Amino acid sequence: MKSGDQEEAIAQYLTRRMSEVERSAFEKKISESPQLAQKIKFEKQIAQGIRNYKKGILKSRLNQLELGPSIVETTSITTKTILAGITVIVIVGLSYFMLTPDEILVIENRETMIGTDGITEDKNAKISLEIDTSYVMLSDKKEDERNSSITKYIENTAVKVSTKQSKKELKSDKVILQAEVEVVLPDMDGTEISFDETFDSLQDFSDDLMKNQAQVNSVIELEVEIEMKKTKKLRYIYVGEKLILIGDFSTSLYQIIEDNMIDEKKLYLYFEQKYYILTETSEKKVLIPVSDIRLLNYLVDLRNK
Amino acid sequence: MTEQQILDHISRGDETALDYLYKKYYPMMTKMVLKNNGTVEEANDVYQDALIVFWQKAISGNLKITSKISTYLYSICKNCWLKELSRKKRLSYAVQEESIVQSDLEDIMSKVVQDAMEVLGDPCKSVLTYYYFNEMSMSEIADRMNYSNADTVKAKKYKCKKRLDILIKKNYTQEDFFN
Repeated sequence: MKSGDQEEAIAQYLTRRMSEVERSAFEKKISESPQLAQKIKFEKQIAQGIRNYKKGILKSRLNQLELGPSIVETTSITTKTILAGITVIVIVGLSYFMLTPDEILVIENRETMIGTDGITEDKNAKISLEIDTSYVMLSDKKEDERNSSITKYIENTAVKVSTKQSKKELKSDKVILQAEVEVVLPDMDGTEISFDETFDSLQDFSDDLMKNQAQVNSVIELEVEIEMKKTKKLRYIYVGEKLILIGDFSTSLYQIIEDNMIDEKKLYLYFEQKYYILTETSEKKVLIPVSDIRLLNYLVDLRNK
Repeated sequence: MTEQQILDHISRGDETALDYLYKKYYPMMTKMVLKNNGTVEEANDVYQDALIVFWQKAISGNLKITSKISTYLYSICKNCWLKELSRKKRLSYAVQEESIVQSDLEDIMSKVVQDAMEVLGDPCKSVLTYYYFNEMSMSEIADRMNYSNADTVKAKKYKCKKRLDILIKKNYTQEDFFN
């Protein structure tokens, strides 16, 4: 067999392109020739190396994919929705203070993106806030009714904020806003909408929101106590600023992660590669590892910060 | 997108179908690993491996799927995780020196091939991955890469493989791996 033919045969053998008959005949040859067997072993590694090369490219492609919000779907009303609501309310509020009712009509019906993840400024000096992938549409119903509504569409769900005012209230300097917020938890996919320059002043406000959204404090004022028990089950008590961990915590180091949000803080425990949510409880509560992948990814990021 | 449409996209090598599947089944597949003692990193890794196995089978036409994609993908994921668990168990109970050495050699070889592939560049890189990873036929590669026919691809693949061998053997010989 010529060298080229043999190499072609090896390649076909390694990529399962041979028929049953060809395969058996070739395997017989392999069993009779240690050199051929060695050559195949080597070629097999090269073939595997080529596969791994492509696999690596695909994996890095997957790793770069945005998987959406990390915890929105896992907690009742999370930072994003809370901030979304607050931001929407503030926009409505500011628009009333900054614009006349006629001007409000100008911005209505314009697609706008509001977000809580971060704030960016586009080339036209317009503010755009991001809520992952949600659309916020400012729309007006009837001028006479002085009724405006903001509806945020997120796939099949919506966050709706509406403000109602009487004519009398609008005319006066003291405007009282009543906001109704309906929140249906979204499966957010990103989008971008920009605000008008008139909303520049919102940027500072939103910056503050961002700063408050999630901070990890390495030093916390929490008193942690370990109650050693040689048991597999881990429990805890968390009252006020005191946390008691009950169980065998001697096997490795633990970490307490504090997630400071705008109006609340959340506490998590990291122990032996698992994360646990710590909620206030005066009774002993069993620690159950977090199993939601999005929350876990969020916690991994938080911990790495 | 229907399941058939997804499979059609995959058979055309459209990698956006891979992205679509990854996002669609991410919570479902990773949850299985997490609920069975896996870490986040392991869950991500296992799911990605399983999805790539699925992709490879679907793209090469070796996939005879009788169930829903999610069911099939779930079973691959489960197998991958069981395999990983048994590997971990083996390593923790009895460190088998030989298997570790073998796995190290495979890692080194993979790295050597990866570097060589980068040096090789296109079109050789594509021809070889279509042949070894996608397991496409010569005429399919010809169609995909606009070569005149299967024989042209065969000759091209032969030359590319020779160049790859030279690059690999520049630094490593066959004996390095078996002595």
